[in-house]
Amino acid sequence: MAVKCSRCGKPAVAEIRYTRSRLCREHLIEFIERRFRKGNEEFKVFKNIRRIVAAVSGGKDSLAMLYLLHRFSSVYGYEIIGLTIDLGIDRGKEYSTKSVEAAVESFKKLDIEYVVVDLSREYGYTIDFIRDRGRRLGIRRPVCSVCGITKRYIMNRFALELGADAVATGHNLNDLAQFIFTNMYGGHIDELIKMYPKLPGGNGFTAKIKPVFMLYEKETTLYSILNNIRFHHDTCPHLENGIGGRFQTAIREKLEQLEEEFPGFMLNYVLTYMRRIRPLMVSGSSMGGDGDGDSGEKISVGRCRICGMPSLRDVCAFCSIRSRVSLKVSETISRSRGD
Amino acid sequence: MRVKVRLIRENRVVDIDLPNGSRVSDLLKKLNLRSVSHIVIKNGEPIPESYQLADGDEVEVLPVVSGGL
Repeated sequence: MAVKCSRCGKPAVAEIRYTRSRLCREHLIEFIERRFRKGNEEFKVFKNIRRIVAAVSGGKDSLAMLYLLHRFSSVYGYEIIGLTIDLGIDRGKEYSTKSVEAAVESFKKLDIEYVVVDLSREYGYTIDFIRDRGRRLGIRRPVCSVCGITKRYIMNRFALELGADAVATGHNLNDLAQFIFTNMYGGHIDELIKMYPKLPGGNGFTAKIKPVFMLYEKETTLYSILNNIRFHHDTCPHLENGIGGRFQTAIREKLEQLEEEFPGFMLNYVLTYMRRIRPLMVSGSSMGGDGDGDSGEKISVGRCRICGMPSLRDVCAFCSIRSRVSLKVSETISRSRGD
Repeated sequence: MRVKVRLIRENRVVDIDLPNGSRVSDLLKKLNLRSVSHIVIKNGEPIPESYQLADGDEVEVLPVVSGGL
């Protein structure tokens, strides 16, 4: 039996427990869009941003972000360039192929200029290759860490090359609640400070923004469904114990449990951190910020001697991975030549 | 009453028996799933937790968690 929308009486499609409302299709879309605008305006996310590289995986969060960014581009006065990465994850699921297809379909539908970076063609390895051969090549990081380094490097590099003011990623409210909890637990202050809707650029870094930070994971999914956005809903085949392993999965589940019991828990948790705790931490940290994320990054970093991108070491983490992969490739070539 | 449920992520269909008058929230509880991380869809449209199910209803359950950029 249909449930009525609290605003207009039409059949409701969802219940927003933290506002004690049930909303129909139109009013839910309106509600989500209003929250998107409210959050980004409060934290001045689009201030001085004229060109955004939207990093889209093909999942519901980044695609909902892309549609929302597109919907309000003329309001805030920025242009969007889409970026998606073919990470070469297959494992019989065609995971990357399907993800890239979903991203490209939306770029085309919205008539957004876009770039597809093929990791194998551009940089000579795939994430599947690292999973299978990484240890033997001396890459000790877990595959998810290599994947993260790879994505962050490519996003930053392409954003700089495309002259963008910011890279936008689809981190949602559940992600931020989890990251804040984890970093608080570990006392990782510099990581904790990064949990903010906008991080300044400078020193070879493009600014980073998280425009859907105030939307629950369920809301980005509902927004995608209601807007007929075709997204890839499979999970990465390399996730063996959930995102970030058993500990992270447990934290995520506990936070969901609290949300179920106390609707609005995650929203209050994240906003309390951003509004009241982070400002107290920023003044004592190496990373500056004047509250609206517009001051330059104050960490002084050197440059990678291979690629010239910012790095705390002589060779950046990305080039270090690449050099191990290409070393193996050149060894194989030498052996086949009989050198 | 009996409801046919397609679990989208697992790509399998199960028949679930529920007391008459059960709601979507009861179905999720029976499946041991949380409403904050699942969406129930009927005829291609999401339905809220308080939606009252009827015998013979066919629904889909989509988990909202994923991993990406």
